[in-house]
Amino acid sequence: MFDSAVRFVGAFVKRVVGLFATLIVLALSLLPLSALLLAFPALVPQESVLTESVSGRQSWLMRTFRRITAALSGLLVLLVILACSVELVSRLPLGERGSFAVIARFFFRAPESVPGAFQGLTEAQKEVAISKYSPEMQSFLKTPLHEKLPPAMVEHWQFVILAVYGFDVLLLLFIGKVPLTYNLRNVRVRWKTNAMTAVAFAAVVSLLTFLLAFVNGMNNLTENSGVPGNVFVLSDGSTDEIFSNLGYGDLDNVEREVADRDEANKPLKSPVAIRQVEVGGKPRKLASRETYYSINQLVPNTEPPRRRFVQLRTFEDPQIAAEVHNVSLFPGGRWFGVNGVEADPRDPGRTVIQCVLGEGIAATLGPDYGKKRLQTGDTFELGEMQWLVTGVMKSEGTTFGSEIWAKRFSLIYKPFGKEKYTTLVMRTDADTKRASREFAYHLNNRYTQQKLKAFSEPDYYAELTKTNNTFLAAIVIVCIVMAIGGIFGMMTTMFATIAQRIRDIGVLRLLGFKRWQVTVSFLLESLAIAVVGGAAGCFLAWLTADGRASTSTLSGGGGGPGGKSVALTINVDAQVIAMGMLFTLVMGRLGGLVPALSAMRIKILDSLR
Amino acid sequence: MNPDMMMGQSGPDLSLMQTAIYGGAIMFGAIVIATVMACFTLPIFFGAMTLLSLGLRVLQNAPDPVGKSSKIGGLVFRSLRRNLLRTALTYVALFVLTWMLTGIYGMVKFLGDFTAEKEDSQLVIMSEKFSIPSQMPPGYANQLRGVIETLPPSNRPRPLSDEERVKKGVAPSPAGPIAAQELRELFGDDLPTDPANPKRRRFEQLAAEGVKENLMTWSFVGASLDPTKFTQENNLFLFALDPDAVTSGMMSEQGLNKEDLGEEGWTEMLRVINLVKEDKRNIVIGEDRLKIINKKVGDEVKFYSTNYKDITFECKIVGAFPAGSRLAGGAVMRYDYLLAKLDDYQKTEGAAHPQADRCLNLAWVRMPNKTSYQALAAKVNEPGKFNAPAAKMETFSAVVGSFLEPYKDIFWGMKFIIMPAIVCIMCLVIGITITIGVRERWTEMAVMKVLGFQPWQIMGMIVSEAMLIGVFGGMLSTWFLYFTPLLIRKGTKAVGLKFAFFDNFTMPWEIVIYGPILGIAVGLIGSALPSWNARKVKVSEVFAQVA
Repeated sequence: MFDSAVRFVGAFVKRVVGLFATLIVLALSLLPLSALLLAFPALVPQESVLTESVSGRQSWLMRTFRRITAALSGLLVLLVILACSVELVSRLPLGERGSFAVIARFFFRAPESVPGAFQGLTEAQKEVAISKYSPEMQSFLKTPLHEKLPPAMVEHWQFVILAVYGFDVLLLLFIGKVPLTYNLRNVRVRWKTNAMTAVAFAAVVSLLTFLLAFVNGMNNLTENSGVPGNVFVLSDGSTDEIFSNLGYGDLDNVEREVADRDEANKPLKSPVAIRQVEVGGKPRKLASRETYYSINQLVPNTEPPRRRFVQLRTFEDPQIAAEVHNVSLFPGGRWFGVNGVEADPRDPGRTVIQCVLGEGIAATLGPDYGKKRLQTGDTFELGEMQWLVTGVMKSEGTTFGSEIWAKRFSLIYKPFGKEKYTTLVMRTDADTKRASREFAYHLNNRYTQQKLKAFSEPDYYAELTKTNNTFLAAIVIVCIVMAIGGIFGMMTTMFATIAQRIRDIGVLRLLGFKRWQVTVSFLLESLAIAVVGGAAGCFLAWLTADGRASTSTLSGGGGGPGGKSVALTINVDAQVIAMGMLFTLVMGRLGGLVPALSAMRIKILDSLR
Repeated sequence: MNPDMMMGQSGPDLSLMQTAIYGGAIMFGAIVIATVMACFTLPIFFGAMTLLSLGLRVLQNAPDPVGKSSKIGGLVFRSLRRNLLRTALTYVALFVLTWMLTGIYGMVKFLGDFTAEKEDSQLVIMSEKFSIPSQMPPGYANQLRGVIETLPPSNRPRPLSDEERVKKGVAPSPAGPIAAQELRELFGDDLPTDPANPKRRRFEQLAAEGVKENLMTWSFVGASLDPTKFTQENNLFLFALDPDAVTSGMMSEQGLNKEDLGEEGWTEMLRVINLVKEDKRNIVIGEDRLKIINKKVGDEVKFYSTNYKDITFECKIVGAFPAGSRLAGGAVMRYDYLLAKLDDYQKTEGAAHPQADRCLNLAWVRMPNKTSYQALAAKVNEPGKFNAPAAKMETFSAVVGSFLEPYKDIFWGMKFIIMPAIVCIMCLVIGITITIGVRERWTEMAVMKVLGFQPWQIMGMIVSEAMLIGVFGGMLSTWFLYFTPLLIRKGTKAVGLKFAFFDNFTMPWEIVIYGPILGIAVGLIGSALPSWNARKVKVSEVFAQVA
């Protein structure tokens, strides 16, 4: 009885250890296989990778030397592959920023913000704890790791990993003969089962690609919405325009300010001021005073009644506003006038409020009136008033696409309850991001007449991408869940494949193929199925989703009433496709490695019996 | 409503990123838990299969057709046991996928139910008609009271009956004992109209009590402990309201109720509210927020309002909302203290504060039914009433629906893309498994045909295998998801523990039925093609290959 209990406990512990070992192997399967193979003799020194065989009579010293050499060569290959991939990706024309760089920044953040470090401490307590370290250590703890990495590794990490896998395959084929033709032929022969596995991959990857393309559309929206040379000013205590409240007379002083020192309090080479233009023969600062509203509107013809929020922005001067925001109208449109109202062309006895619409809001309001989108000359109701569309803005890909612009006057601010400005947007004379950041810093820290919250406009819109990060996190998790199905499907397929071809494996071993070569060949077989499925999924997503319009909300202030409802275009570009293909390769590797390892362990004689 | 959502905060906003990280961590944890649960329920799965096959073995001795069917059934179980690894992998995949599908379904259903119009007692909100944030004159509260008093008796808000007060832990009414029957009799349209009538007088007394108990106003006060800086560590968001709103149950949706807080927690809450009533400067702050601003109960604090410029509040912290509760990150102060400060400003500055006539943000009313809410909403919308600024009245679920409107594409995608995609993947997973199994047993099927098995019987066996895995995977997953939180909740309440997450976590009951049905459907669809192929196996061709 005692012996049986001990044997049972031993067997149980062995299984648990085996499970953990499997999990470690699965994690390692994501590393380049060529590096792992070269490091393989570090664990099993009697196995040869680069040579045909290993001498049986070796001293302990020789074996230890082999282990160390194998480990170092594996590490070296890993670094070389990584370096080559980073260099290759740096030379590709991919743009400065990557849509999914936030994932890399999340994983490569400052050591002080890693979960577990300084756990349970408030910010103030954390500062106190960090200050006890040496200055070098403090700098290390506070500096995000992604700032120390090559930009390509952070901004376009998915291309880097794809390049790593590509180099890995080339190196595998170079290291030693792998019976690839045999495996690829078997993919064709057993095409039905493999097709089903590929379809599972296609389903998961197409969904992931579609969702990532949605996030990509939102990222593009926020990036395109900021003019680098603009300074975006709100009242202190508000991250969003909806809560901002600027006074009247204060703004003249703000527009006249000049920033002559930088953040380190050193004099600037050229002071930053607000650009001046001539309007009607008079010099005017290129500064747009705006009031932003989020109007609750009853959606017509809905049962039960639904309401939505519509973004309205009113201006003192539309010409200045157009120039500050680099917005123009489609041909046939005109900006609203000084009075902001006119007689309704269809009913001269009725006064309507003039407005211009963004393309997105024009498409949102159109179906209320039986049209695809509202056009110049159409009227609509908002806030129990009639509005006339005098023009449609060329605003696709910007947040202004979801806004209605009108003249700021009492017919609007009285019923909507917001008399004061919410926002001041100014163009710096240098018209660069650096200049706008310097001016914003000046207003935040040196301007004492009023407490303001100033941003460089691109930085303001970058804050709004925080909503995107929430979506991205949710999307990644949902797709990981669905990937479980794909991974298990691949495992099942490959296990069955191996079981059916057990004699083939024995013959391959007899012909001289080594265990690792058999493993690699089956892994490449699973990757081939994964690539076909993944490519089909990416193509399907591109076909169905690219260019589609959708709506969402952006918020930098914690969501809720401060969010901007935006119309965006779903964008399946190279970044998104790279993510899709990377995902499929990861699924293929995770699903194919364990069966491939089981193929490696089959004894020759057992397989031929 | 999350206090952090109501007003903007300056400085780096960690809340959304933290939410994304915590949300991602929770979801990842859910997947790990699901996979671990699947592995732990494997013994249940295999055990149930063993029991069923044993049962069938007993029935095999019965006369036909029961005996024959049992023998065929036994073959099905044997096929599943042929490759335990493959069966286990398929089961685990189905378990995890069903788990996530059910989770998404539960979330979509919860939002749908939450935003659906109700027929019974409902909470309605008066807010500014067009703009957000809603900012109305304080006089709108009294005006609303006046409008409610013009409603017919059947549409008026009612006070709680004595039984309801005992159940909710609310103090007895100053209007004396109130029986449920009395409320039903008095709040009807056949009430005498003569003011001198005793029934009418009693109705007016109870109706006044009803308005007091069922009307609550909120004013939002953003503040900082430092007049020069506004950061995460020194900011505070307060709801300025009447403390009686807590004791009357109007704050129950915000987690301030006996059920969520427990007997002890509710008693402590009542004690704290009494302290707030003693002095209008007394405030209550959530434990999570107290930790961040480095304060504790008993501290005197001075905070500088950010939306009521140049107004400073000197307060004393007399209590804390429990950590993890809905108000753990917020704070509550007395509305009359805000009004007093606005009056002081006027006396000092000689002019009203710019926000003085915009300090009422929301007015909540609990109406007895949909008809009474519609009657009140119609009165609020009448021209001439509430027009500077214009106000509207809508149900709480409609308000939530408005804020969720921009996400409708996402919810549509979840319902019509993600959920069907998960179902497709489940079908594929089963399909792959069955296809491989059929191919392996091609010869066996040929032999079965020779022995007299009909094509439809072979097909039925294959389909049964798939449905068995599907029904167990779907059933165990959904039953686990539904019953485990219930059992944990019962267990922790029995020993007096509070397990916050499970106290709030419920899944719709119908998943208990949908789980097995989904498993059967997925098994049927996934095995359709391979079982049809198995049906068509040609005996001569198979034996020719073998030879």
